[in-house]
Amino acid sequence: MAHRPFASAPYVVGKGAPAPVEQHIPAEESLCPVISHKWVNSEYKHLIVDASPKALAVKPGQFFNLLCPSPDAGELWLRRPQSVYRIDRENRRVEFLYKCVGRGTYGLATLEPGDELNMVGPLGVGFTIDPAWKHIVVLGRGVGLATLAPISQLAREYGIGVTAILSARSTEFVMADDLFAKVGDVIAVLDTDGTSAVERVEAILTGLIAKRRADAFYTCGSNRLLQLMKRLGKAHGIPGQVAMEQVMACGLGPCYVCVRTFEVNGKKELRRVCIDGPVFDLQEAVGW
Amino acid sequence: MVDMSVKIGSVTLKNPIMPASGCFSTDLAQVIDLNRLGAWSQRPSRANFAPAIRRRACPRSKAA
Repeated sequence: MAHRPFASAPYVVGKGAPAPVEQHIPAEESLCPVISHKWVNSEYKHLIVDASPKALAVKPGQFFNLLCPSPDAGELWLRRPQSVYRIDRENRRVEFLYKCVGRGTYGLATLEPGDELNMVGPLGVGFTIDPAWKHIVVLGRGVGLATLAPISQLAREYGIGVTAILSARSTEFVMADDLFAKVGDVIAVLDTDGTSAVERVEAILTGLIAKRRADAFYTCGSNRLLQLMKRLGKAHGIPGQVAMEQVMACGLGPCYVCVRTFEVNGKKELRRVCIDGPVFDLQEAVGW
Repeated sequence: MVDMSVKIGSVTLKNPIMPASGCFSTDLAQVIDLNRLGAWSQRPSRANFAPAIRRRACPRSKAA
């Protein structure tokens, strides 16, 4: 009988014979060599790793649970969930864009090219697109921009146009604009000039609806923008999806740490962001 | 291959690996092949589950 590695042995990308790929199991633990890891501004880092075949099957909106090195002498408990920023199937790489805010992400930031990143995934439910749509609207803010970025790849696959409204504190924090510029229009709205105010964003969305350039809504990163899209989506009958963020422990379902409240047909429901999401129907989300 | 089968009462398991309830569920089928286990048990699902831990003072900022 052929040797089968113990279930907990990670797939080591780029070394030795590949582990047997059990097609019915979508996710795996893998050790991925870091190719590039650079600051894109004062708070965000862009991480590129070589990925395993299963990791490359990641869909936009899905995430990996990353084993971050400790940034100090203390232990770092639990993996950190990180949604994929870009999927480069040609070069067999996946990319992450993340904000350094706590010990996990500061620990992750210590990785250098040549180091190995231990990741489990792809996990969760990603974004979906109806091929019948002609033009979609993406509205994101802050860390949400990284999660929404791979929608640009999905839209390109389906030949669908995108208007991306990217909300940020200042021009320094407008990210993923280069990815969305390839598939459509980019509108950056900023705190510095007041264009990110909800009423200003609402005017942009209303204009797009009037021009019939809003077959679907996608959002992530801001509760106020989520509520805006939800309200306009309901009023105009426009379907939508939201990617939720939540603190997680296992990232696989059994621990029930990442539960959030949703509203389905007028009834409150508790769902796990890791396995029922992180992408949910816009109208069912209660708050980001 | 080593025969690791065990008999517990009237049940024969192909190996003695039987994850305890609470730390295991069918959700894990997305990362491991459940057929490789000797057995698995599960407590009744919680109809009205709540977060197992609460978010403590967290440095992660929420935009807008």
